Amino acid sequence: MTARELWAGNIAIAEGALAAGVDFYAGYPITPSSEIMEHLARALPKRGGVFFQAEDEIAAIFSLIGASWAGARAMTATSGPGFSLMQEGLGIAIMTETPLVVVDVMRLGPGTGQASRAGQGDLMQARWGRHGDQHLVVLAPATAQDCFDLTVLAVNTAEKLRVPVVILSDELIAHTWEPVKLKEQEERWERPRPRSQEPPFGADHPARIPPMPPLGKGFDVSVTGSTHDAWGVRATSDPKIHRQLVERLGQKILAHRVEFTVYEAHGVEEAEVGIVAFGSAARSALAAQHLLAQQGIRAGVVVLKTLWPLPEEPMEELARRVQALLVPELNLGQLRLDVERLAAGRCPVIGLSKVGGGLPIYPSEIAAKVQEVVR
Amino acid sequence: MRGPGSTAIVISGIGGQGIVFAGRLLARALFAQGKEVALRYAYGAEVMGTPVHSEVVYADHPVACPFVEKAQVVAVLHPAALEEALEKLAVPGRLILDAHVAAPSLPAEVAVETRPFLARTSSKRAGDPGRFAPVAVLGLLARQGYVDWNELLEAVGREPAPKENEAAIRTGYEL
Repeated sequence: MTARELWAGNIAIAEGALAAGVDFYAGYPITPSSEIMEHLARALPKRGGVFFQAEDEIAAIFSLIGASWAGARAMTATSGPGFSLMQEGLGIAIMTETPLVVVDVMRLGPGTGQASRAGQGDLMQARWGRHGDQHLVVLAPATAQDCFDLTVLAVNTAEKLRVPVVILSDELIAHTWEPVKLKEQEERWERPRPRSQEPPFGADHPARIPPMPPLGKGFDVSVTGSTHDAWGVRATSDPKIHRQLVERLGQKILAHRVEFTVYEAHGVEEAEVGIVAFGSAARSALAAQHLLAQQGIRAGVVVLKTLWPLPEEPMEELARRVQALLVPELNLGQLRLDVERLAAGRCPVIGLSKVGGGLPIYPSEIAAKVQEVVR
Repeated sequence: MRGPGSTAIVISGIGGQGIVFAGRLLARALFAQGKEVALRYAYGAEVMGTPVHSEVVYADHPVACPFVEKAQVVAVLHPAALEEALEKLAVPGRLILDAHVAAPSLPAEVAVETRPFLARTSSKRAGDPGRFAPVAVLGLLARQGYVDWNELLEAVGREPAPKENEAAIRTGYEL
């Protein structure tokens, strides 16, 4: 039995959060993300959850960290300038192994840029925006259905791996209304409760996630953004402890990557040209594939829905088969850098960048670029 | 291109006319019919008097791309929106104009229909830019088979001002 709703991407994210059991939201309104906040401001209190409009995005992200340690499933949503303000908090959340979800509905920057207009320029910021050696998970919806499903996945992944998860949406996806199919019940990952003598920040194997003790429930635990040992005791000069910690924080994500890696490959096996895209650009890539087929050109499309860690195999596979890879994106060529790395010289990698005005990359623009390449 | 076998409809006018509302109604009615549908509309600094567009794409299969380059049907309810709207019009295609919008010179493959949507639906509210006219366009689209009449009325019933909007739809149907 499934229900079907007509939702904009932002509403689908908010509903996905509710379905995944998010019970704490703190944020500061900013377009084009504000509908997520508005929706949850109405919905959460009715369900016994907490909605908190913070004085700014810095307060919002640190509220999430506190709420998460108190046992809540915590989420916020923002856009470019707010996402920049949240970077320090995200780094602290990585270091303290705090589960939380940050939605960045991308708009045009830098600075205030063209406020509210679509862009995909935060890709590298989502991956590398904090100081230090650090890793997190980045997911990118391309449809309203993805907005719902990937939000559920984001919350469960954050809880399971004790890691912040970023959902990288964009204005075009956020404000496109589309059908969303719903299951009766979404899966919810429940945090395991630690035994009393279990270290909350240590693991004997990279794949093992140390259980997270809820604060205020009888556990004696120190939570610090400084380098710490398995018990949370600060170790601000020991090189061995620091290296072990930062390596484990990355390894635990890589060890579980198969559980949150999502991508689609369309027509790859027969392709003469490959297209790699995410978010709104991926929608146009799929339509361009139809246009090109009418002209006798076989294009394979890889739609990336997990952006970090990057699903490398489908792109390496595509690079082995095709004459060239095209990377359309609403920025000056950020994903293209990764695709070039993975293609490793097997075929040329060509960018199709469009920035300004908030316009989508249209399917005909992608098709025209592919025709140039084939000729 | 929105994927094979899909139809795109653009409704254009100015801020305050209810262009976004009409797009939402149309999408909801098509969705209730069981169609796969995608709706986008003006988002940003558009205010009273500046051009606004709603874009609806629908099909019997999932819509590959919701971004409309060319639409089979374009309805224009204000001269200020005409230029931008025409950029979206496919050839061959269908252009629906309110009677106060002068018909431009177009290729013969474009069917142009002019109807007095504003004149027949304008309210007595001061400064009303014709807020029921876009809904009246939906009545015409229902008569022409683009959207199911009953689902349209159902959709109107769940929105604010259902009586006035239903009346506008009926007016549009008869124009």
